[in-house]
Amino acid sequence: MRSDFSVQRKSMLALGPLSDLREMVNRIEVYGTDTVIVEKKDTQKIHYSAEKLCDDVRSLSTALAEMGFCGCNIALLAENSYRWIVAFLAITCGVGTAVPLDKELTENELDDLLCKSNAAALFCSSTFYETGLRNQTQLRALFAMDGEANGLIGWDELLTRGKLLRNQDDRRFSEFAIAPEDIAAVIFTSGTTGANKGVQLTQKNFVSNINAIAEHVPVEESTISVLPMNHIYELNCNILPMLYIHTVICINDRMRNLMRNFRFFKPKMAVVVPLFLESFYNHIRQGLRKDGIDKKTDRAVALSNKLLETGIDIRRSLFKDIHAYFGDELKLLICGGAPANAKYIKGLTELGFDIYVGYGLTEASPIAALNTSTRHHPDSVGKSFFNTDIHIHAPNEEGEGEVWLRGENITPGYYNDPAATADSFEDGWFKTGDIGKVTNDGHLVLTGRKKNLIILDNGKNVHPEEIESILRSRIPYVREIVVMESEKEIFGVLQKIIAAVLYVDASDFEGMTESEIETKARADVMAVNADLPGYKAVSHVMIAQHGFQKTSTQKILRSKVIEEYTVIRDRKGEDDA
Amino acid sequence: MLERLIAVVGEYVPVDRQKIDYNTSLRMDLGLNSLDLVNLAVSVENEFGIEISDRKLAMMKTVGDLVRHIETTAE
Repeated sequence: MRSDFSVQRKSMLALGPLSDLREMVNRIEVYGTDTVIVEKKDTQKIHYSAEKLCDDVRSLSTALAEMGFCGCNIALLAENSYRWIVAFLAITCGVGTAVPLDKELTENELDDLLCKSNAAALFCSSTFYETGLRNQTQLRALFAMDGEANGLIGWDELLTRGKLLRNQDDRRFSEFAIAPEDIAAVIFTSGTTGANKGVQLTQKNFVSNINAIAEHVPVEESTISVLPMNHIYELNCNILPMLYIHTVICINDRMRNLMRNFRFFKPKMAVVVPLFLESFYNHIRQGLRKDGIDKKTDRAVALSNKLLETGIDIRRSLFKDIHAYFGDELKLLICGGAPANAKYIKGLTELGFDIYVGYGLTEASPIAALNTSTRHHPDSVGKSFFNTDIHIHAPNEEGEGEVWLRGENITPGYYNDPAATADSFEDGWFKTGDIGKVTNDGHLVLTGRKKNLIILDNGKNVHPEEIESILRSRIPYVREIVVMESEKEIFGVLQKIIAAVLYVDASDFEGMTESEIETKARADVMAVNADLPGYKAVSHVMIAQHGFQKTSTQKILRSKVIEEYTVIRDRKGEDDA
Repeated sequence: MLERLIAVVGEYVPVDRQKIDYNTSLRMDLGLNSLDLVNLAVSVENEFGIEISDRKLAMMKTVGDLVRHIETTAE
């Protein structure tokens, strides 16, 4: 039986703000034999207590120090698991710098990132042993997180080593020198080319976000971990702060089991990206239509909305069948990583789910603004988060300008990339590239983007320059290219996609019609897509009739190209209709 | 094989079955997002009695990729 959640949270906060991640691990030991993490194996729940977590982190950390990895970058490539969390904390509690890698990247991209990050060792699950083995020449050690180690150093072996040393009075874990400015992790936001940078996050950055969530954000007693832990949003909005305040973390083993796992774990909250809101909402609506009760439900929603105006909230009992589908207990969804569609927020809120929408980026580790139930404003992404200053740079008459951020949560810069770091900061402010304004009552409203980054509904970031460079190198007849965000109506639903406008060398296509050229270009782009992770695939190809407009220094005016081809796409769409 | 797969895909997304072939892009032509793909994979697994790992699924681009995977893993 666990102790009272709110009492525990209060007593933890009474200790004052955390100074580093090791202090967090030491503090959570107070939860003792209470469960902090639950996994699913077959049909059983596996509970991990706070004591076990702390013990494993200390042992693993000591073993890494003994093997000479102090001060090294250590990469982490695995599915979400208890061991992922232990490995991350073992590295970041004083040993070195963690480099969590995205398991959706291709083999070549993973190889490049291991190289670019100067990783001295790699923790990997059996799915990725091959990646480790291919990179043996640069990695000093490969640690197998599960399965048969096959000559690699196994998880149990590492823990036993560390435990043995600690039993012999090895006190290195508590004696590591940790400074607030020490780099705890380098997070690569996407891909490997020059456009994609490794964001360095310090101990101070991590705990600044953890302290602010712990102190100010109302959360629930249990959460489900759905998003990949290598993503800063999952790592530092869900895993680490929830561990700290003893919200039990239930780990969803596979995406395909998510709905089943809602009913299995019965979590009270989840941290998601907008794609999930859309999927949950559409799933619910489909179910209602199938059962022939969609109109009846709409009437119930109208009634419930009226009652809400008078302060009476009967949503959870009125829509209890819908809530049963999510395990009965799910109350709160924290949504970030990409702009969320108001339709789904409204739809799910009306059915009885609370939704917090925020604004953040890896460089802000990650929250910069948040709308919670107590600080709610529907059109905005919330007020500046408690540790962040927001400044609107060079605002126009409407008050819109580039959003600049400052605070203890802001990265000191990019890994091995002083030029990109210098470009991103001015007078101590981090320049986000997002355009927005702050309302009279202090809410941040985002209105656009200055940087070229494409943010998909699933929170994945795509740098157009990276795709452009790959297409240019692989398709010889491409003279000029602009990759852009676009929308495509697929089965009546507008979906955000990646489009490419190609200006091609006509001499390569003598005797071919415009549509034949387009067909060939599309096939060639498809062939390149095959070597990219799915989310980076170009879904729409347009052929330019003329070269692109350029600046006096011959740089392509991207905004003009995007404007022109968005109009052409829309006009074509009308013609098709 | 392709016909059986098309039947599974056709039940999942409202698309002209005549227009699905090996080169049909799962994302571009069928408009499947990452969560849809997971659901389609489960249907394919059930129909063909095979397993599609998350890693394999993340790398699949076309209906042809699915067919090849079924051919190499189905008994």
